[in-house]
Amino acid sequence: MHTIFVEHWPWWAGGLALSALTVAYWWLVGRPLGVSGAWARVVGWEGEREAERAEASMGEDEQALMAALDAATLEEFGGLDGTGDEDDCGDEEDDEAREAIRTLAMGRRVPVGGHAVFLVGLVLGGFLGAIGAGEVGWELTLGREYQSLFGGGIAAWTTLLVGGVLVGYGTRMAGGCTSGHGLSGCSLLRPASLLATAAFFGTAVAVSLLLEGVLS
Amino acid sequence: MSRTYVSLGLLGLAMGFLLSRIGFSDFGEVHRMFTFADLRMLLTFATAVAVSAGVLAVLRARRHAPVIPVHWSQIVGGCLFGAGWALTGACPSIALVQLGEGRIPALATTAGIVAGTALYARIESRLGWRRVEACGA
Repeated sequence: MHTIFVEHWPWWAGGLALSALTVAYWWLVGRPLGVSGAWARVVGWEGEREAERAEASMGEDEQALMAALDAATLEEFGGLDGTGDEDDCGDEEDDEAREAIRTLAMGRRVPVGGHAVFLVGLVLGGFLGAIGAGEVGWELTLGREYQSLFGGGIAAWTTLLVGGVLVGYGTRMAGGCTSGHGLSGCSLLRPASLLATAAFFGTAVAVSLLLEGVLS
Repeated sequence: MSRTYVSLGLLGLAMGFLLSRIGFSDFGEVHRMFTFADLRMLLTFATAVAVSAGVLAVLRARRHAPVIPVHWSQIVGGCLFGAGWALTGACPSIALVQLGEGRIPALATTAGIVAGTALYARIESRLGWRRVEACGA
């Protein structure tokens, strides 16, 4: 019990658990796991409502688009199963293209409230983690290392606020974060995600080494 | 519909607990990962990607994934995020996990993330281009 709840997990256990989570999210939600996307949906709640209304009114167009697409596919490739079943054994490349267009056409599928529930789950999960470790209670610092780099006063809080803005702005600009690009995207060997992950990981390493050299 | 909410709630709960137990929400651990003082979390992440890649390949998940063209915004945005991650020890999920753990400074990080996300949404609408979402949104 001590090794599960108190000590940090060994790399293989953590890695297996994280990959299980990545796959489980995909399996249950039907979309790749991504936390900054959830943030964006929740923060942009108001604009979201408008977008959902617009999407609802576009529903018919979308159906027409899918029908036209299926018809065109059928015409070009002949005996393909026109229902667009996911387990279709037809030409894989064609399937891929059709699925991609379908995904784009369907756009956002997870309701905003679902993303909000997910974010609340993260908070409660952290709470459970702290309970397990027997560390329940408020802490005014992020730990010894943070203290030694930034101190504990207004400078530390300002750094967190500015850093937070960089995290929010940067992940939105890049279209994903550690989970969306790093876990989900890299697992798909998607070039855009590999690029983004190299960019944020490389920069984090450079800045951390710089901090280490300058501040401590 | 309600199944989606329950799934997302449980997934969030599992992820929060997991990140906390791995040590991802611990600034010191993250800092040691970025300075290569401790390779444990680097290996954790590499293992997670390698195993997921294998499973997703078997499931042929790529067919159902959003298509994301390579764009310069992924590099610039990634660099901004990386700098923020090094300064705060937090990626978007971690600030919330830290709040759950009772780490009060995470309030500042969370406020920053909300502000940064909202700021980008405002700016993008004036840029005339849109990057494609990698996440499950």
